[in-house]
Amino acid sequence: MRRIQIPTGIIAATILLAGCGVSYDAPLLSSIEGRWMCDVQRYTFDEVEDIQVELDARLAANSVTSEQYRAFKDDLIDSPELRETVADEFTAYCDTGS
Amino acid sequence: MRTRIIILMAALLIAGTSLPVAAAPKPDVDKDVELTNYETAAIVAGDSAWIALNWQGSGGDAKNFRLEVKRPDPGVEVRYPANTATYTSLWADDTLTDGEYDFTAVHVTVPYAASSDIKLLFTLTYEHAGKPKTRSFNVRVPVVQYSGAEDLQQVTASLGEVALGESAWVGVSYAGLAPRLDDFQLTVADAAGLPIVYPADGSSTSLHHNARLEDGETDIARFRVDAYDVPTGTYTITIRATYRKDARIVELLGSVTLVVVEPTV
Repeated sequence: MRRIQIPTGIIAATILLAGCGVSYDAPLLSSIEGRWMCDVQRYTFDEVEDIQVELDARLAANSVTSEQYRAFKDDLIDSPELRETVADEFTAYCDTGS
Repeated sequence: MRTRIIILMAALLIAGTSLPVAAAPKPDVDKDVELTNYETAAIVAGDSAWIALNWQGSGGDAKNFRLEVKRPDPGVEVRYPANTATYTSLWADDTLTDGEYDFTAVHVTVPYAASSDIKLLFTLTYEHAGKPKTRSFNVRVPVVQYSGAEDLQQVTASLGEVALGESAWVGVSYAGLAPRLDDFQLTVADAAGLPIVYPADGSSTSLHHNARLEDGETDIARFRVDAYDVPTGTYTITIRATYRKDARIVELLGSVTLVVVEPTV
């Protein structure tokens, strides 16, 4: 399956300090999440566990830990701005299929 | 990985049509939950796979999110993740927050006989603003046909060596190419004079794990060679594999070599 390639400009963006003390790159995580939500519906998986394996591979390929991803997901619930960023990424990525 | 093969095949077979990416949402009067893909990834006829439906919240939290398929067509089998068993919910948790994306996973088995896309009627229940809601969604699962020339491939060409006066269990491996081959049996059609014994003194052997060979799976069929009172040398053994592809019984002849050698002292 195709891996996400994140533009270096995004990586250089702001590092957000999450409430639980785990820091992460919010634009990077938003990009990964938006693309993942688009890609997951385009693929089939042999085993249900393969879905998580694929997500974990994408995180690892971008040097994101599962703790950072969890913190990001937790913050998504409380942050409309973060959800909007993910939605923008989803729309931009999914509409073009790039 | 079989997933990749399926994706590639699907991509080739449905070339010229668009992928099910963000299919245009149908008019949705109840906007607190939106389904973003009314069409899923393609499944090869005869195969089964986990597919994902993607959702976005749009108007407050949708809690206790539960999705299930109602009355799938004959031959179409649906199952859900083990932790929910009778329904599927969102990947992260069971609440879809306003603006949040999350997906639900469903396992679908498509019958070999499926010649066109299948439609699944999903029923979604959730609580919004303290009120229970029920909604229905028709989702299309594209079905593509496997068009490979071979259903399986014999992996083993040589059974190695057996010492004269000894018996040995030998194995022939097969790799599945077609989505699902059932009732796999292997018999030796021509043993070239070597005594052959099948497991449990039966009349045939099957695969080690089970009698089903799936695409991307490699399994081994074993039988015993009793190399008693036979000349040393290289033997070419003709083997016959039979399997059921949907309702059709298919036979495949192949051969393997075995060398009977003088026993070492």
